[in-house]
Amino acid sequence: MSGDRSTPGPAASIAEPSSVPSGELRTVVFHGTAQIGGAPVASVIVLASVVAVLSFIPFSVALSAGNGFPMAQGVYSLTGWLLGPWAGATASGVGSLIGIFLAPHTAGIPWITVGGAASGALFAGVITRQRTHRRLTGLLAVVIVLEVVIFVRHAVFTNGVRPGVFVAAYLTHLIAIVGFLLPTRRWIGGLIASPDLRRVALGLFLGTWMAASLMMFGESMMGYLILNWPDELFVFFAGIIPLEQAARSGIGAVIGTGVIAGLRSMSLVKPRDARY
Amino acid sequence: MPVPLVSFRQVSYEYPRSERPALLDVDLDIRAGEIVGLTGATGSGKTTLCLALNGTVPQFFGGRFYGRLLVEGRDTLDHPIHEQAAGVALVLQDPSAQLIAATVEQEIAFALENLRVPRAEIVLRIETALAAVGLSALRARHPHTLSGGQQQRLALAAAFATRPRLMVLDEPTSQLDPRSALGVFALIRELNAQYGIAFLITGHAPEEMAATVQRLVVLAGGRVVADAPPEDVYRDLPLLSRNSIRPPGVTVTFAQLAERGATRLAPPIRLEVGLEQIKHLPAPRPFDPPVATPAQSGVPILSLDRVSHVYADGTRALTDLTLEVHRRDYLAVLGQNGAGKSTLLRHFLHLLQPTEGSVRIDGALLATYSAPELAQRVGYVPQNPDRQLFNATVEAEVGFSLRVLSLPPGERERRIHTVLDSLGLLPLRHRHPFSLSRGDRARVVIAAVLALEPEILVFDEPTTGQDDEGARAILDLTRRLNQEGRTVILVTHHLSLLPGYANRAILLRGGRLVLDASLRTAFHDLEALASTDLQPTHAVALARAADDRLRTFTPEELAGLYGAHPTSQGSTP
Amino acid sequence: MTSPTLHSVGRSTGFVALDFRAKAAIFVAASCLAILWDDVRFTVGLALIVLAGCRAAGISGSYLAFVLRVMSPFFVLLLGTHGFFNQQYVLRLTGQEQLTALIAVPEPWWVVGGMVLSKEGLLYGATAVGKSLTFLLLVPLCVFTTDPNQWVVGLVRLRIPFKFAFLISSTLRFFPLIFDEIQAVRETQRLRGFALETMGPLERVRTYGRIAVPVILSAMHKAQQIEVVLQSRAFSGRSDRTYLHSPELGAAGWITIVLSAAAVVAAVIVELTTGLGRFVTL
Repeated sequence: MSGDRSTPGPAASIAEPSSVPSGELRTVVFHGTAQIGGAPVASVIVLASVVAVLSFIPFSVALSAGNGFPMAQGVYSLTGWLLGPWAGATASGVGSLIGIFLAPHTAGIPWITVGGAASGALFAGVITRQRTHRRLTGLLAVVIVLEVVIFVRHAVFTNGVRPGVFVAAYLTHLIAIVGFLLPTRRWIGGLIASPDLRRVALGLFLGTWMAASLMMFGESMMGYLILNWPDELFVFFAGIIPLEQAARSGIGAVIGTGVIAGLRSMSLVKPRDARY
Repeated sequence: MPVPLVSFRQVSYEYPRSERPALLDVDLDIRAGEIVGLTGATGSGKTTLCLALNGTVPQFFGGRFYGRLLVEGRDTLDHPIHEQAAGVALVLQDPSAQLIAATVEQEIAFALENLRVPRAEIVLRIETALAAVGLSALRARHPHTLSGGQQQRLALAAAFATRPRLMVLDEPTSQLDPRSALGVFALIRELNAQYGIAFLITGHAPEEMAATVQRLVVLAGGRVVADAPPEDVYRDLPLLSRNSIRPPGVTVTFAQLAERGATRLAPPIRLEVGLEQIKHLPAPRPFDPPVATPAQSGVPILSLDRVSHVYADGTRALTDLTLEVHRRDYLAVLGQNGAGKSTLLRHFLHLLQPTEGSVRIDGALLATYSAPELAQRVGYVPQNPDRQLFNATVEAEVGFSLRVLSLPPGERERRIHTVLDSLGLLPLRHRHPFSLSRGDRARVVIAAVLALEPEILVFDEPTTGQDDEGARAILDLTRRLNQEGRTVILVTHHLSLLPGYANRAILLRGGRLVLDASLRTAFHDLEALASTDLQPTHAVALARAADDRLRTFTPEELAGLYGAHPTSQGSTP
Repeated sequence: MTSPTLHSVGRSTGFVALDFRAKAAIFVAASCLAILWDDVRFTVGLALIVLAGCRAAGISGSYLAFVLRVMSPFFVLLLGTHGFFNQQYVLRLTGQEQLTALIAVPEPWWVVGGMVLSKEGLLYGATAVGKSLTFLLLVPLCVFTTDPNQWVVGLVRLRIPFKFAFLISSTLRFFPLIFDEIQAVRETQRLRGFALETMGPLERVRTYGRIAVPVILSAMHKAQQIEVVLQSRAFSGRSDRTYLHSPELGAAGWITIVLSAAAVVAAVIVELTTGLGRFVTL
């Protein structure tokens, strides 16, 4: 038997024990551990691994639409809502980086792909009803406006792309940009935090659309600065971008709703900046 | 009296948002060099107690903590968790989720690097640790490529390399095959004897616990309800029954013998003691095993004809395997890891196609069935139920399966209701599957599979990680489904649980069929079992020690042959 | 489908032995040059140098051939779009009033009638191909030749906090686990009768999307376990720890870094002063 403890012998049982603790209530102090943006490092690692894996699952399998995009693009924004903006951006960025390490030929221009993935989660992380990360949100708003200015200046004013064609190509993205700058962002964040799963699904659909649009617009701008594709390709984009965005948003809503419903039912430690 | 290594004083703990304490007024000491076992039903607080030992509870999880827990005289609440790692090493049950480095030696180095051990010392400790666990030849391998047993040994090596005073092992063998589990317990005894490290081991492996621990602590509802030498705890069968703890087979057998007046000795807890004692009992009466039901004739529901399978990398996983499964069979598939069980299962499910030979259902080649057709013939319940849960409610989960069928209006709802009702899940129909216990989640998956009304049900290790009651509940369900007319195929490592359920067993070794017989015959084919490193159950070993001609295979059957009152014999052939 | 694994060169070459920081410098410098240059001789030349570097560093010819084969449709697309359509931009680059026609599609042809493939457009397309190929091949050149353990130390030496360096190597470690998990979920969905090939697009999205749900939930559950493991193995995220593998930069590393930086600076100066590197029509 152990030391001076008073636990009775093996067969003895405690008659109708009280469930009120008799020990002194202690103050629990968390002495700190490695975190990234308020999320445990391990959560960032596993979500980065999920993003890396989903980089290998072509969404075209689901859509049968030929060369599609990897399913990971539907969950970049979800990482932002699950972990918060900084941790989500790290998970998405690192996940997409590992995807590139494993299969470089899938990347296009690697650093644009990685940056895009990270920005998708970063934008999503600030699509929230909470009034947190104000400086980050402001910074992102400035970056978006700068992207619009640079892209328009280079494509329309320098390279002579027709303004109407430019707007038609990026209409979906431009609407999302306006939505991000307006209080729509907080309304969508409210939907995602709602206890009603139908509202959550709607919020995730709109939120994924907004975050993915902002991400894709930035990626397009960077790609354009390097490759300078012609006016005719913008016309092609006008038809394809809304379809792609609908697919991304759909997949984001389906996955996100299932995941958030599950997480709310599981007793896991919630990252500080989680939005669900 | 020397200061104990670990000292719980009135320790209670409540997780955030929890309605009841996970630990309640725990008073417990662990002395240096001791091996202490910790057991109890699922949810009794074992893991929480383990996690408290390095401050993870409450520092990581939050919640309310009462009392005082001192490890080496230091309060676990006053120091960061990573600082406490120098004294207390933790090994968890899932080997794959606790290995974090890209090579075996880097895995061992990780904690040492964090503890700022100088490089030269790290190199030395890696050598010692690898030698201790017998992995020196695999130092450059990626941990993911190791077997489950090797991974758990590596986790032990990584923990041991930090030179802790206490190693806490939370269900270290629950996911291992019997051979690997024996290896891990042998290693624990060796590390304890050689290095004087204290161990706290939780788990549901009574035979191995009995052979290893010096004290056994039983938790119930977060309280310590027993703390004594393992002999005293395992002999207290009412206590074990109340707490869903399976006693060692030898103890159950001798308890039954004592009940019939065949012996006055206290039931042993180690097989070798039992084997010696039973030889000194009077000779048992002869035993006539019930006649096995003859194999059904006609077209088998599932058949494999000379199936071989070679993987793309050249690994030969199945060789010339012929098998017929008839309607209403309850077939147990036995063998160590790597014997070919999973490959065989994947052929039943058409996830793999034979390299040679053919697989048929009702005489038709499996390849001729579409996915929905096959799902209505063969239902599969995986080891990890969580992989099959996609929906936000139990009801939706069951209904999800039915979307592949074109059912008339009302039929879908009727089927959902019937299945949920038959599995006792109706009260949980609106709950999220992930909010349920592991046992209930497994039932949800079974319900989803049953909704398609398949004739064959394949269960892959359904009792892994379950306590005695949970394991019995799932096996009872499989028996009921079998009695209702379904064919059941079950893969398991837990031989002792099978009597009363399976009527037939096949034994695989190296991808070949070693044995295909009634369960009783299989259990008594000691040569075949030995050839696959499987140990006979205690009941079988004791029967053969008592009289080599005896073919009893449950404690009840064996005990019934002693004493004055013969009892009815079991009906499982 | 088996889990993709990190390619690594099968033999030890001088480049393999080079410190990760030196390789990072090459990566950055070559990327900068690819962005800076518009001269087709330079961009394609750079891509060929990187390709030759890959081969010399030990990356298998079959892998490089695979990459070129996979990317060839994209490269053809680049040549075609720039060659046929990108007139305005190329005109601006050349300062010419008209582009040199190489092929003119006859007017009566359906849809494509009247389209002209210009020499300058084609050259700019080749420039874009060179840039893309450089970006693409730099990854295998630097990653496949480096042991993941060296990344961690290398990144820490580059003042990247250890927790981020650890994050990258750990993601690589957990990738196969999650990949196996997703394969298992796909299989179990199929075993419940879901054959994607027989579904309509919307149903397919719903079913396919749900594959990720149990994978992410199980990953989050696993994350909690891993966090407990990390902390119980003294992980604090701090960089002041010891390292089993502790490579030194060495003379070759320093020389590589200095040369990489010098190449970028020189290219910028040369382009600003002489225009060498800007688009030319040949």
